[in-house]
Amino acid sequence: MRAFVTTLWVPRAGSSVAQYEDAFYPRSDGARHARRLRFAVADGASESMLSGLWADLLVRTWCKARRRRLPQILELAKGAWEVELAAYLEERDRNERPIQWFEEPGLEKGAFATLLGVAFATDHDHTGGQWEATAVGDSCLFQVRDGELLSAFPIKSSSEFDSTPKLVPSRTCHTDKVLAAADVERGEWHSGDTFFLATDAVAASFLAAYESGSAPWEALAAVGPEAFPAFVASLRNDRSLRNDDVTVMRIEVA
Amino acid sequence: MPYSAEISRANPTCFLFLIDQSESMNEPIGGGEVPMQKAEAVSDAVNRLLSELSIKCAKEDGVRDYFHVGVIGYGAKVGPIFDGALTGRDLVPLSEVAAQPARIEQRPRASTRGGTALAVKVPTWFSPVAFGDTPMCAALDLAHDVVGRWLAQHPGAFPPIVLNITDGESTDGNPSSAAESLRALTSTDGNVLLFNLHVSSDQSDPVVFPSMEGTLADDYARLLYRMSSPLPDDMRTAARRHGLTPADGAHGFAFNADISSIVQFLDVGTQVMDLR
Repeated sequence: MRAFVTTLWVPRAGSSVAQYEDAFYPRSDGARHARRLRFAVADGASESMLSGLWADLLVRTWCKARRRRLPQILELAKGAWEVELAAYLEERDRNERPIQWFEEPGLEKGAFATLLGVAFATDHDHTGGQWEATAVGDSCLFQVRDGELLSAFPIKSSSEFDSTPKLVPSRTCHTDKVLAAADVERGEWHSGDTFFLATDAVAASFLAAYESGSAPWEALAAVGPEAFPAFVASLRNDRSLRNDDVTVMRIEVA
Repeated sequence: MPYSAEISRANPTCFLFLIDQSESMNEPIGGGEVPMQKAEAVSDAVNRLLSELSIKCAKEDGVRDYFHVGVIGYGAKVGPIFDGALTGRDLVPLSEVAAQPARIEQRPRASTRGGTALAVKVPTWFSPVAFGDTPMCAALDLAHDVVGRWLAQHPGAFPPIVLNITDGESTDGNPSSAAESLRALTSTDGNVLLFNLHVSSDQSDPVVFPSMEGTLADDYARLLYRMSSPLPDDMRTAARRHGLTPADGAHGFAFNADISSIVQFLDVGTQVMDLR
């Protein structure tokens, strides 16, 4: 299969690029060819320390894990987290910025993030294939074919978003609970389909627009990375997009 | 819609605590396992809340100033009661509060790993005091000045929340009109919210977030009820998450609060939705 990937992202208004806590993988735009391809987005929780780092570890681990399943991916990501956390603590120490009392509980508790990963496989005739998506939390996948929304996963209605999504923790032994919270969906892709992987603010706006009769994928298919910040600013201005980090990975498959 | 402004570093909100420090705060409070003075229970709860707010807003680049906070005491004196480097300051950005507690105690805690006792750091910003009268009118007037000045600099903020914690009747007059003036202050997002928390020595059941004054025990409880702002919708939702059942029109008021209802009340009063 061939997938042409474009990721549109912008931090919440008032935050710098360094404070952006969504994550996506692969990091670079462009065409990819393979029989199997994996993509992921994640959204680090605002109220945890280093949640952008954890979101990034989750999407990388998901995409590099090839045929591994979620339990193994979580164990790998948690192992990577401990390594990164140790490096972070060492760096703080080296820079003579000791951990403060108000940072200790958050670092001990670990970070939290949503995760949405999708794996594509190609049929022998190369004109289509299957996809399987796994989600913990409210980052969403949308599949569009011939100008119609074919799938919305795991959330199907804009009213389902709230401020307490399911999250993947970086530091807990209760993997069973995370696995129980995971939703899985499978479908077929055809050449010409477009998939969007979106974090919650833009996913909620997408579904709200769809429910009011619009075709929000049209604007998202037309906009490029350079015009995206202005596009987001205008949506935020007319209050149809919550001020949050925004990430949309557009995947055109053939 | 009021009470819907985004709370962000560019558009913070504020919490101002008014704490009764009169003589009677020496008396014990109901509800806890260990007997405790009211002054100590209130000081513990508010110090813990400042600590939890700091932890909640801590990110790797520091504590984010979603909130400015202040604590005013009223008893023998009326004024800000932060100790240490923040002495004399009223509303202080949270990052400065987090950076400058007056003391940090190390308290042991039970460990889940191998029985080794790990220390937990407990910061405090002020100490309990119980001495003098209950000049509630003067405290509300000072709150009016402090919050009024803050609103002049933050006109689009989620409205300031003032939490008055008391165990007795005002000794410097009827506080109704001072409370009314305070509640009349506004940002573009709505009026200042004044919540009143009455702490009790007696063992009767607390009344939290009532919606009718007729059910209250005496004139004094009804006065405090009328002085309290109705709870905005999002706070009623937050209260329900704490297992409470505030009716439509419930006021931000608790009467005869024990230790656990103080904590519950503070959690609901300060639980502010989406931080950006």
